[in-house]
Amino acid sequence: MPIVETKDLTKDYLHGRMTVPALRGVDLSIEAGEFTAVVGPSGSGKTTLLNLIGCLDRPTGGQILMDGKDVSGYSLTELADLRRHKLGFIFQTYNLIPVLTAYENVELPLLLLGAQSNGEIKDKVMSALAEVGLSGLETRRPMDLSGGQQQRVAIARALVKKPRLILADEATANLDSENSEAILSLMQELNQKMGTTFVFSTHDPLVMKFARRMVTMRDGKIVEDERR
Amino acid sequence: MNIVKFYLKFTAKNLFRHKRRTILTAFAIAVGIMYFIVFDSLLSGADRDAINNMVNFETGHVIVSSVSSDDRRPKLGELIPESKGLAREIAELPKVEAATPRLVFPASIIAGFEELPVLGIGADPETDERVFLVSEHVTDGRWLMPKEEGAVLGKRIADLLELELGDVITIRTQTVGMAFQAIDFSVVGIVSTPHPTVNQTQVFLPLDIAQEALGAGQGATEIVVRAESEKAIGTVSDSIRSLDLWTPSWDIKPWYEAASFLAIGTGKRAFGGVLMGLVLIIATIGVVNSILLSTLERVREIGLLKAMGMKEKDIIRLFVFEGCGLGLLGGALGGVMATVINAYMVNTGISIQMFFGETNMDIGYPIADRMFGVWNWPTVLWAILFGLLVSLVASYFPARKAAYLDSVESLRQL
Repeated sequence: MPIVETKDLTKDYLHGRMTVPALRGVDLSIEAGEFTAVVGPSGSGKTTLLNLIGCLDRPTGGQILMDGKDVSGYSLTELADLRRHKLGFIFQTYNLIPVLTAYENVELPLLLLGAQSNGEIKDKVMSALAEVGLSGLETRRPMDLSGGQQQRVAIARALVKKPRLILADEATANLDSENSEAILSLMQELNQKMGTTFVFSTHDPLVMKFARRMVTMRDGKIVEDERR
Repeated sequence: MNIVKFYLKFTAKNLFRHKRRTILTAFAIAVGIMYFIVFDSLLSGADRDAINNMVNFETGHVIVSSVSSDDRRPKLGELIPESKGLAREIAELPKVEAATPRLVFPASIIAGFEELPVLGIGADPETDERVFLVSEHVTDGRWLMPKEEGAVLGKRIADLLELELGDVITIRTQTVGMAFQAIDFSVVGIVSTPHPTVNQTQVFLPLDIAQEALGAGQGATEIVVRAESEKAIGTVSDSIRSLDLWTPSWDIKPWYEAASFLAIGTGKRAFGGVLMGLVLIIATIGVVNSILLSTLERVREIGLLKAMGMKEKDIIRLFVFEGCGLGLLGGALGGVMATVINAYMVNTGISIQMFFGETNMDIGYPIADRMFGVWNWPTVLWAILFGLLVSLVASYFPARKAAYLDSVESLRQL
């Protein structure tokens, strides 16, 4: 069974009196362990698709099936529960909380899950930070870390609760090529070693080099779905 | 439990993201709380001192009076006859500490070419000091002696008429038969009490001499009673009414019915409440402004928290915790500031002269010189809790607005 599946998914936005279709009937299925890049020009609907798969937004039409369950009609609270338990996010601008240390930023998703001892939480956070190569930097705040290091913290934060799916929206767009490659290698390694499923939206040709599946979008539709 | 700890830690860190803003907002709350505590302390202190002064220098706990109207001019046939005997009988009642007769009459005091209206008080030298504390406040000379044509004056009267011990004064008044009477007295004592009315208007004469001068026989206008305690006032009043000598036309009043300043106190408290309300409105605006700015600056952070699965109610809780943190800081600061100022108010007090340029001024309270505060810890606690409550309510609405921001829009925010 796919982790996530969309059926004839549509999303319209209202701009004043005009309705702008962002997605026009998208059918996509993501299997466990995939490392998928969603590519396409600006305005093609990549971010909208990721937001819908990530349960951050609700579709105008069609279905989103998460582990076989249709979640398109879920309430805000149900969607929050789903995100908390099953999904991880990595953003272009890292979105770390500036007043928290690297450790505390990574710890936060576990605290939201609840029902874990301090010891368990500490082990998981330290192990996630070690996985992304940030051992020893736990007490630093985001402002004391480089862009690449901040994105690693963001990856550790997405990874620490072992979600079913990690969605990365233009995750390398703010990094130089050296750091981009390092981050992509890291995610690929995590995908292969831990079986974590990744879906990227990107313009970065490097991502295309790393991805094992490439979904190309144009004008709110999937125009190509290539597995390598 | 871990998440609550996290909220507290996160709240503390967020409060110090913008130290200056936090300090200014907390300071506004602190000033409001401090103002309320100090104002309440001064009013409570003034009430306490005024009550003590009323009971100790003017009314005792209970006044049995033959004159039912406010006009205290003694009239023939309106006196309590055999007043010493009645006072003795009352003094022996259960829960009564002492009782003394007083003959109170309007008079003028003449010294040389000066004349001043005063209240003449014929006091029994032996029993008066068991009920009142006037005799303990003789600053010059001594207290009255029976059958002696000596007078004890309030300090202010002595100052105004430039009188000293041994000076001779003339007391002019009317007898109970409405005839004019003028008697010479020698000044034997000057009293300076904490009650301004005593200092400003009262001249004490031995009861027997006053009775003779006014043709009042053994009569008095009132019998003043000191009960064992405030609580005994009702019982004592009932016991007096059941005496054989009791006459239904007499009036019996507890001290608080004679205390007009109590109404003034209520008015002042209401005014204080209004002022406090204004200060708290300023504090509320401070908290709303602070939390609103905080939410506007952290829109993306809110989007992130929601993306991680934090629910709206948890986001509200985060910002309300921050509001409460501001309230708590303000409350603690206000509590400390109020404690420091109040310690001065309790120990040293503030001089009425400093404000009005004159002692013994009538400020609506029977207090002569200084106003003292009191320690009222429930009020301190209540004020701090109230500050916390205001902050909680003030932070809820901006917090709610932030919690229901659209996640996708929030994450897009620059």
